[in-house]
Amino acid sequence: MFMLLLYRYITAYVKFRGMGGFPERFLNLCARSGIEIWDPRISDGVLYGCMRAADYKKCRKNAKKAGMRLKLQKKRGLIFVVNRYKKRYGLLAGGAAFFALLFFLSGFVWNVNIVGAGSLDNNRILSALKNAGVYEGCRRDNIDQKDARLKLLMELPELSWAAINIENSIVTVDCRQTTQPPASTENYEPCNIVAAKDGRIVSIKTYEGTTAVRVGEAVTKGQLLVSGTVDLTNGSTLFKHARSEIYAEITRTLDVFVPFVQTAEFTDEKPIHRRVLSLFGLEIPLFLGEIKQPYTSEKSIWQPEIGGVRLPLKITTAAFYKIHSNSFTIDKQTALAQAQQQMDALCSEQLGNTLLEKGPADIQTTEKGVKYIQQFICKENIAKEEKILINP
Amino acid sequence: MNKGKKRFGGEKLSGLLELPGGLLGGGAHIELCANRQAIIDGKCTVLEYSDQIVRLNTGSGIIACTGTGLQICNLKNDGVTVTGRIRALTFDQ
Repeated sequence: MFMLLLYRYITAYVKFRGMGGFPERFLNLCARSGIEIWDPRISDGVLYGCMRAADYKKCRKNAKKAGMRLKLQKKRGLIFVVNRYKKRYGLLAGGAAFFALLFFLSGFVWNVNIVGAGSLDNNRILSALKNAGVYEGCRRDNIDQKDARLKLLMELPELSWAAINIENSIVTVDCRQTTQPPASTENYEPCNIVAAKDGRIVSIKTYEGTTAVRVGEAVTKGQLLVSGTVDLTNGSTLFKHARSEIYAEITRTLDVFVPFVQTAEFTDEKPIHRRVLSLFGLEIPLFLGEIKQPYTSEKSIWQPEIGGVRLPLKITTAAFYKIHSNSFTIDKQTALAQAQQQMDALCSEQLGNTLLEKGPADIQTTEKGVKYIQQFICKENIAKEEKILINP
Repeated sequence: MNKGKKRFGGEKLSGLLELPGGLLGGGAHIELCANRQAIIDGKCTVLEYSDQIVRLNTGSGIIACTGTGLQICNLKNDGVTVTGRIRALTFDQ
């Protein structure tokens, strides 16, 4: 029904009224001469109906034969609307400009969508695509799909496969991430185990190689702990990859410094907004000047969408919060308390579970602040692999 | 006389082919959709038209469609569609 109405609107039709004479005869004459009349209605001897605009002149002869007088009531159709505005050149120019702009803009890429990237960052793929000549705002005709695909795969070895599909103004990049084989845990390269730090050995667990030290011995950094060389009874030598866990008590010294004059930073509550208009990848700043003071910023992007298609228009708003600094002085007691707190935090961060015992603290007060030095006894695995260099 | 023979021949052929009587004899083909629409195929002319009665002259006779709110939807040389609330459909020779 809708298609019929649309067809009638496009081909144009008229509503008419026929008075006097014989309406039935008029209907019959029209039907016989191929003039289609729809929705005819007789009310109080007056015939109302619709017919194609082109047929209206033709049916006057039939009306005369039937003794009727026809009167046009309404004209409906596209041609009548066009005729009404045909002298308005501005509308014509606007329409032409619209279609020209539409044609021009459809030659550019509006959206780049990425599908199947998995855990790979989309921004990295977009950046690689940009280097390959595919980006929002580039000419659609300039894209060499095969070349861009190869460049993308070469730049991102994490991708095993990629396809670049261009559908109208939307580029869809379908890609798959490479599944890396698990790294081999076995290492057969001949090596010795040496001490990574000075200390006293508390436990030894050797899995491969010949142990060169005993529990309770003091070792220095770089000393051989487990040898990867095994002398066989037949006189030959076997080189192995020595593996061992050797725990030793070691002394570590940590220090923190808290100055008396400190600086506190705070930001403005009211931000300064700066907007940038992006049109087909071209960025136009909508502001003047720059912010020289230190600041923190938050970024938000507004991009309109129509029917799931992102328009190539984007407004990026950055809210800048200026950072102000304020200097103040603290007394010795406060500085010492802060230093202790910082030392505790540093100790738990760097030593963790390896801590065995805390040593005495050394507090040095200078004009500038308080220096807090403390020694710790820790238990750490000091085994360090060192390759055996073999000359062939 | 000739027309009557031809019509008789059509009736006979319809009978031989087991088709509905009158189909090949030039009669109108009428389709009714409940009491709301009557589609009459074949050449016909309007004899009387109002919202209570539509009388049509087909080659094989006059069909009178009575009811309320009757309207000819589409009038063409080879058929007509009558809509409305149809009460009766009568045939006059």
